[in-house]
Amino acid sequence: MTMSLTAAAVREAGARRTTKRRNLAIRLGSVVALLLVWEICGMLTPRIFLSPFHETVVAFWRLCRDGTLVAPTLSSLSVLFAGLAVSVLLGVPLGLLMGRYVRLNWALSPYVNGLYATPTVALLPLLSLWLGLYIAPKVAIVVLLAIFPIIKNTYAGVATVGHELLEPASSMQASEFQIARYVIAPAIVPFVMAGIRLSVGRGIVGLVVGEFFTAQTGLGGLLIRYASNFRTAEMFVPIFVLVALGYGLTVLVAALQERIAPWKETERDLGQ
Amino acid sequence: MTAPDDAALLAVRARVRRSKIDRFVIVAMTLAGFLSLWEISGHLTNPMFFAPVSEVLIAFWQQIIDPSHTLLSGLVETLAVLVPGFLIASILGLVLGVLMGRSNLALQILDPYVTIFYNTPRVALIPVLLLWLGVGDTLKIVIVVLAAVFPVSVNVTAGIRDISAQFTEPARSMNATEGQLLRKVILPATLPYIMAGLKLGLGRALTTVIVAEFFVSLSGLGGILHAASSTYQMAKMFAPAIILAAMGITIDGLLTYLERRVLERYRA
Repeated sequence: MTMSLTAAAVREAGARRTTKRRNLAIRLGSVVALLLVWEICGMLTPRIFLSPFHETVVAFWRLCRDGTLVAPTLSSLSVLFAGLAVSVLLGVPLGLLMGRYVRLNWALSPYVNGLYATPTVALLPLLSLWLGLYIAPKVAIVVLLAIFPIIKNTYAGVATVGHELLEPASSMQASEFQIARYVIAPAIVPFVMAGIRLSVGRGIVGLVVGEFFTAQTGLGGLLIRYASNFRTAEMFVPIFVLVALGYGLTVLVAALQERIAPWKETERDLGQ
Repeated sequence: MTAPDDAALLAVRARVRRSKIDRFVIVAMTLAGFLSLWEISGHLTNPMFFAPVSEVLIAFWQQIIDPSHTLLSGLVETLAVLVPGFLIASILGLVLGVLMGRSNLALQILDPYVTIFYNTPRVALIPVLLLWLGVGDTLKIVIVVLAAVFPVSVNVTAGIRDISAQFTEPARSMNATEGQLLRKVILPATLPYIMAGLKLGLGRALTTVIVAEFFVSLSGLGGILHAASSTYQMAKMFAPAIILAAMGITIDGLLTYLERRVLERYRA
C-alpha cells in the first residue's frame, strides 16, 4: 500500500518536472525565434533602420569594455536612487500622517489623488525652467512620478489597522509614537514595499523623460545620441540596460519584501 | 420601541452631516490657501518663470475664445491619438490576456516578451520607433498601444489564472464549450481585473502620449505646452497642463466608478 503511494508520488513529481522542462524549452525556443527574426531582418534592411542582433551584442561588449556605458549608467542610477529615496522619505511619513489624522487626509487627498491621475511628465518643462538642466529637475520628475504610489499604499496600509489592534494599545497607555512604532509600522511594511515596487517602474519612466528633455545625460541621453546618429546597433544597448534595471529592481524589491515582511503575503497594488 | 431607535439614528445622521460639513470646510480652506499662495508667489517671482493663478485663468480664457482655436485643436489632436490607441490596446490586451490565461503554450511563448515589455520604460522606445515610423500619428498611436496593452494583458492573465478551477470545473462538468465557458464564466469573473488593468493602462497611455508629443512634433496639448514653455509664456503654459490633469482625473474617476459598479453587480 505505502509502496504504491510513494511510487505514485514519485511518478507525479516526475511528470511535473517534465512539464517544467517542456515549458522552459518552449520559452527558450520562442526567444531564440525572435532573435533569429531580428538577425535576418537586420541583414535585409538598411543599417540605418536596424542592425542584426549580433551587432548589438558586439556593441554591448565594446561599450562595456571601453567604459562608454559605465558613466551614463552610474549617472542614471544616482538620479533614480536619489529620486526614489526622496519619494520614500517624504511619501511614507505623509501617508502615515494622512492615515492617522482624518482632517489632514481631507485636506491633502484631493491633491494626492489628482496628481496621481495626472500625467505629471507635463510638468517637466516647468521643472527645468525652475531647477535648471542637470541633476535637480531629473530627481524632481522622478519624485513626481514615484511618490504617489508610496503615499497611497502607506495610507491604505494604515487604514487596514483596525480598532482591534489600536484600542488594546491605547488602553495600555501606549503613546502615539509607540503606537506608530509597534502597531502601525509592522502592519504597513508590506504595503509600503508594494508601493515602492510600483514606484520603481514609474521612476524609471521619469528618469528617461528627464534625460531626454533636460541636459541629455545618462542612459536616456546615450540612447538619444545613438538614435539621432542612426547607430542602430548601439541604440539598443542603453534600452537593454534600462530594461534590466527595471526588472532587476522590481525583483529586488519583491525579494526584500519577502525578507522584511514575510508575515503578510497579501498586499494590494493600488492603481498604477 | 421605535422612538429611541429613531433618536439614535438621528444623532448618528447629525454626526455624519457635521463631519461632512467639516470636510467641506477643510477642503475649501486648503484650496483657498493653495490658490492664494500661488497668486502671491506668482507676483513675487520673475514672470519668466512663474505666473499668478489669476493670469493663468485669464490666459486660459483667452486661449478658449481665441478664434484660431489652438487649444481646442490641440485637444482634438491628442484625443485622436489617445482614443484609438487606447481602444486597440484594450482589445489586444484582452485577447492576449485570454490566450495566455487559457493556453499554456501561448503563455510559455509570449510570457518572456510580455515580461520584458512590461518592465521596459515605454518612453525609451520612442527614439527607436521614430526611426522606423517617422514623425506622424502612426508613431504616436503605436507607442500608446505599446504603453497600455501590457498592463491590460497581464491583469487579464492573472485574473483568469486566479479564478480558474473553482469556477470552470462546474461549468466543464455540465459540458460547456470553450466559447460558453469564456463568455459566461471566465470573462464576467475577471471583470474586476480587466478594469484594474484598463486603469493602469490609461495612466501609462496618457504619460506616453505627452512625451511623444514633446518629442516628435509640436502638435497636441503636449506640443502646445512645450512651445509655450520654451518661449517663457508661463501663463499660457498652464492651460494645456490643466486640461491634461482634468483629462487624467476625469477618465480615472470614470473608470473607478465603472469598477465599483461592476464589483457591486458581482457581489450581489
